[in-house]
Amino acid sequence: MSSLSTLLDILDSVRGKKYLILDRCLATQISLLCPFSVLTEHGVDKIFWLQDEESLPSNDVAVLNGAKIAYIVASRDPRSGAMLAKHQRSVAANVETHVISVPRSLSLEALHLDVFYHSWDIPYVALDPDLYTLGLGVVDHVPLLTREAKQTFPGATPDYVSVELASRALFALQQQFGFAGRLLARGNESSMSQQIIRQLQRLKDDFEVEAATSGSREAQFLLTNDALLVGEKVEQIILIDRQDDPLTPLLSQLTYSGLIDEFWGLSENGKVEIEELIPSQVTASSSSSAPVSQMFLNDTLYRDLRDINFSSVGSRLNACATSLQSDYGERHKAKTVSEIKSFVGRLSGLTDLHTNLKLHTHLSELIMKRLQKPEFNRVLEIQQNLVADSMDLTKLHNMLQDLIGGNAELDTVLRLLSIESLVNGGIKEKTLTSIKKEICQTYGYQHFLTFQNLQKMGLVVPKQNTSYFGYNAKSQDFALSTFSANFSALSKSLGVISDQQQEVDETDIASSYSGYAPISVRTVQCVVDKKSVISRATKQQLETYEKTGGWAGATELLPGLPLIDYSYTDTAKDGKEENEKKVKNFLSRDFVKKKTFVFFIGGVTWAEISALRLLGKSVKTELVVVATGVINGNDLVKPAY
Amino acid sequence: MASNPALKWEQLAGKFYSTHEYDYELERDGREIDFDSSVVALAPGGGAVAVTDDEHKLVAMGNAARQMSIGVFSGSGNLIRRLPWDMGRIRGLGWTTEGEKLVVVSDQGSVRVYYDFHGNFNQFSLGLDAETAGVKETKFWNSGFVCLLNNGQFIGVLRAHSESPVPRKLAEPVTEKIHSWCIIPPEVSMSRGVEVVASTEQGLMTLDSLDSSTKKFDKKAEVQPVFNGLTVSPSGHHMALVGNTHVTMGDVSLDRIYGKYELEENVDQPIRTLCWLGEDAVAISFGDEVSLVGRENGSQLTLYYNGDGAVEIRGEDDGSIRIMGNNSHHLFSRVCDAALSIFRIGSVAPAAILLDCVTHLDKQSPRAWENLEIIGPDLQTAVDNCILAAGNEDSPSLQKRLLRAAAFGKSALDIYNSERFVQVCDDLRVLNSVRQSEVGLCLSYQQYKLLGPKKLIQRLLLRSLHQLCFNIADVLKYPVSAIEVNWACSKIFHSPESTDEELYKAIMNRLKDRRGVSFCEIARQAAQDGRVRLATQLTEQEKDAYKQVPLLMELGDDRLALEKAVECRSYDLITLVQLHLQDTLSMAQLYKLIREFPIASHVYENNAKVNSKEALEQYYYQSDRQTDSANCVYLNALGQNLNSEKLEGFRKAASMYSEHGSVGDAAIIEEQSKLLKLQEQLERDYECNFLGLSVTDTIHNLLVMGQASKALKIKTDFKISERKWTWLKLNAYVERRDWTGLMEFATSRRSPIGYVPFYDACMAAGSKRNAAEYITMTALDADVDERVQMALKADDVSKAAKEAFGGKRGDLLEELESKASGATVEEIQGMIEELRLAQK
Repeated sequence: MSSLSTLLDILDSVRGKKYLILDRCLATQISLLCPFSVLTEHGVDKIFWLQDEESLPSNDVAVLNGAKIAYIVASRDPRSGAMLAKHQRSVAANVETHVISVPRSLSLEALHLDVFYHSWDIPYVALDPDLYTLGLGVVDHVPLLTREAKQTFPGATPDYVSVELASRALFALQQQFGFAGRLLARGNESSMSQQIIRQLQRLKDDFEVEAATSGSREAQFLLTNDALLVGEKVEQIILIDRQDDPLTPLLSQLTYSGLIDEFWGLSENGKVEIEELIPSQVTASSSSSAPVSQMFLNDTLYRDLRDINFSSVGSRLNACATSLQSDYGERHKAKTVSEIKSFVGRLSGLTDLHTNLKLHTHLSELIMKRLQKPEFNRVLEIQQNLVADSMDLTKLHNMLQDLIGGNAELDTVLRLLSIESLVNGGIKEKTLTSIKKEICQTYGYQHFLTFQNLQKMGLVVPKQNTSYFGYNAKSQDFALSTFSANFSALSKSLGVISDQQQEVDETDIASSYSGYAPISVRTVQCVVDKKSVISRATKQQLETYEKTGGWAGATELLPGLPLIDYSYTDTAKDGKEENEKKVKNFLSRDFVKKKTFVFFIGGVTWAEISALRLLGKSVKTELVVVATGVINGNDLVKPAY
Repeated sequence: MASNPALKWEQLAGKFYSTHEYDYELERDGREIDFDSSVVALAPGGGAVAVTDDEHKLVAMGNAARQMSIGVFSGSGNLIRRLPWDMGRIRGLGWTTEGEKLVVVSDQGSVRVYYDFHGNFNQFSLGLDAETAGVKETKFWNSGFVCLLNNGQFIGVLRAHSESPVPRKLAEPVTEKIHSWCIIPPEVSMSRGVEVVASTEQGLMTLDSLDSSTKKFDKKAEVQPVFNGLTVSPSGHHMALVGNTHVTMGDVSLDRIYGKYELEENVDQPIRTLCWLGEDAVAISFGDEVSLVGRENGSQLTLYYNGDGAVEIRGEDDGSIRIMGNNSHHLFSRVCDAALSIFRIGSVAPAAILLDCVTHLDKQSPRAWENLEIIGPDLQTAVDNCILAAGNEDSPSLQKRLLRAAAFGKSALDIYNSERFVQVCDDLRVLNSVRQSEVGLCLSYQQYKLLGPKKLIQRLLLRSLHQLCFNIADVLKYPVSAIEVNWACSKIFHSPESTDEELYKAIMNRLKDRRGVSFCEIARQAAQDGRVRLATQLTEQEKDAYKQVPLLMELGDDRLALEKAVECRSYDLITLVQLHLQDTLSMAQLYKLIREFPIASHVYENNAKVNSKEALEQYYYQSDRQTDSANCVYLNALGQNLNSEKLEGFRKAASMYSEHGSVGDAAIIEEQSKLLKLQEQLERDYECNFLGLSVTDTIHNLLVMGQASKALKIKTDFKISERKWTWLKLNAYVERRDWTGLMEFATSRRSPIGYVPFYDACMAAGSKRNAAEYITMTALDADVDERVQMALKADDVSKAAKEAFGGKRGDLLEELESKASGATVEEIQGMIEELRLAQK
């Protein structure tokens, strides 16, 4: 049963008219599933946001007397639960209340509110055919990376993306598209990836038993021919833990979509709110006079533009305009009635394109304005020099201080500091103190707490002398130290930095960050595109690597963490091979590319998605990005204050 | 040759029916059991039979006083268990389809649902009304039942098989005398809830959960005819009303009456049970006879079970009726079309000819092949029909003959999909094994198909037939995990003398590598038997944390529960455990426990931040986390409205910070206090807003206001760095658009931040002319190319030319020449010339 129909069933089970109180965290998912008008058809009278406390219906207004309320609450955020409980208390006893928790939450039920509990599960939402998200984002108050956990409990990687949620989503995807033949990850025995793999196995076992119990013929067939289908449609799943590459999101994204995200915050469903955008410039007849303009960036032109480096956007828009011009021009050529008819038929498409072109030209202008600000270029310069380790740190610190002096955004400054700390394994105590002082003086004294948090999160840490506390620094293991310790090696072996100062090569992975190829994407390349990352192998070696698949040949390229490679196809080799081979050949006759899921634990950036799309064009497998959420660097540092 | 089954067929309304007889011998267990004087309830789908004494019947005084108990028998009459009963008179006895649970209703309004055959039960009450008025009568449908109370109130219970069924009253009590009544199950009723039709002297009453309505049956008569029995067909379309001498058939709303038929026999006898034979006919059991009345034309058929005493009947889902008496157990069902075509006397259907082949084959006669030729192109249908008929046949020898015929026929076909043949063979193996008298599950093929393997195995497990289940699972390729779990549960249940250790070993030996086994279910059984340690051990093996963690909490192993929740990193589960711990442990114990798990303590902090600041402070204090405690104090102070309170809080926080060595933080707070006091003073002096601003903003505002000396004092007091100071001055001058002041400031001494920011600031403020002034000064920070670009952006070509000239860049000058106009062109040409000369 689809996610939507489950929700509607629950709503229908609440008879009659009801008020719906929605958690804002879920707005994206629900709006992607169905327009709000559908909810109205199922008896929803009015919709409120759980987070807008003042606007919620309460008993004083007497609207609620004897009414029915249904809450839809994201159970992962403790604040939602608290708000729900608070609002519940203000509601009289004769109100029938239903709570739909997403997903099922035992702790919410343990509160023993006087309500009917339901649960609804949306394991994932599709944003695009090649992009799925769990819609988790980075929940504030729940830091992605913490340092303490690692110190006292060496086994645990400290973040809260629940193993359960992640594995359920992955499993649901596999149910839809076919089971994967291989699971690839980096990490040690107790890492997140390992636990997800274990959970996946359990879910699969349960599923098999369930399927067999249901006794349907189809399930029986799948069961007995299990081995045939594994790995046929989905070749592999690559798990990428954000902790193995916390650097990339901190850098500025330079693709079209990435820049929109950096400047205005692009929501997962392609919605953006831009105050500067003048509605009249975008659509000829804009009826809304709202001060904040919203729009959906889901037109075809946007699809064309979103993944390219911004420097090429201008020429694309130009080309589009020219072709539009010539298309319009065809009306003069139309002589016969049927020609005119066919032109008129295309007219609506043309006007749509026209409107979109207007929108995106205007948007590019706005972006351009921001790009030309000296501050932006200085930030880029600092970033690039930090990552490439090509400038004296004192000089960089001066530049940083100038940014603070010029009242740059705090997020920007913190991101730069985080990059420095990650790349260099910490910042010198003395420097850190002086920068802290400047930040406190400029942005407010309360930000000394921000530094405490950043340190806890492992993003900005003081550089420790080897004998600082009298014991070896290595025993004091930071959450990110594996990354920091291996960064220079990784950067070299993967060829992360490429020299492209002026001209951006559109076919290069590094184009989405103008000269920096994301480590995460390089890691994926190690699996699917070996020839472009493995430079030191002979042709013959490469061939064998490609045949073996998985991490073959990449061991030296990815130091620091053990490589995990689970293969599900091998076990199927024994017995009944003859038949199997036949069927396998039969199955693989259609020329559809096998899929490869790239699962980002802890979020992915738009620019990384763009880079992976670019990579997908040149490899033999179809890359599908699955992420716990779409994030950018600001999301990463925001929880600190 | 086996006798033709068609000889035993009966005909009713043009349709053929056959009677299957099952092995049956009622095991009386030394008691007087006579269906005549008993209440009998047959479980659906050939399940168990419950028998108890009928209170309304007279019994000869025996040597013992009447003992109350309920006997549960298998379909072959074997006693499965005798359930003692001590709840007073029984007013209802019935089975649920789901889970084959026995429901017993007492006259006091208590209901017991026996969910296994060991006598374990759930009990609930029908409510106050039932307790005071008392239950008069109960009727059942597949998933629930309706009780009629002595005061005329109906109470319906849906989903009687669930954990906690909810009794709901139907309409208002009926005041008239109710002669008979029946249920319309919710699946087929108009209101989608359970409905009741009752026959009274006012007419037929229909009651649903809200309302009741009366329908006059005979519009003219003052007194309406009453009926001794009512029954609604399984589809809910038709209704039969049985009076003393007549049976009336109509649709359920009685808008249409199909006919009123006079009963040919058994007139005036009391009705024991009523049920429908599918949709076609209604069956009325009168003692040892069963009368069948066709719906459409009233054709009648009477079945006699002499010597059986009374027989109990039940309509089955597949449209047959089960008839059980003291000495026999029959299933009366329609003959399927395939069997009809084969066995009908004188049939020349292809399948019949095919079956005939088997006889010839036995005799090794070539006529078998001749027969095939007769069948010709219909062979495929013939084979299909033989397979179908074999499935529906219950004597193994006939099954074999039919299957042999099918096998022979299909060997003569070029292509034939044998899947169905194999399936029927497997099904028959299963069916024949469960029909054995030791098992006594008397299923017809249709019932077996409706039941499905899952429920079949559930039923066998209820009867503790694990080995049979394994065999069946093997035949049907059905996963054994559920059977293994049940096995383990009964292992625990049935071995009270074994130690936990032994049991754990025995279970783990068998289940260790099984996939899909839910250990929680086993653990629950262990916990029920008081083996908490074993239960905990078993729960630890569970892989689904969402089942495991709550169970561990129930078992009281809080530590392990928390550990598992942390392992799975589920925020939800960790919170769940903590909520539970808050109720069971003291604060100190709670803190001690969660401190062991960093993730758990983090979750605790997060939740406390949202829910209760006090708890958080308490937690930090108890855990000796001074920095965090100090943070709390500080944040608290920050939230205060009054400055004096803020300062007080800051002081406290600062002292806490300095106490445990984070002097830097303390110094920062002291600075903040200083700023706060200063801002208070400033607000008084200048009557504008300063509170809440940062130091630099304060200085900036002062500078913009022109209070340079005051600003300078703050700069020295707060040790603002020179770079920052320069920035502040620059921004303030630009904001005031004091260009001369800015130039003075720029030239007064060398700027520590260079002069590019000056240029940028002027550009951003829109003053290109002023921006151009600073281009020459940026010589140290920017090279010639950049400077030329800057000048061009400021629309000052001549400046650009000068810069290019200064950098001796002829190439740039040439480029500029094209951009220049008026006098500048000559100027540039002059420069180019000069450079050329210099180069020579």
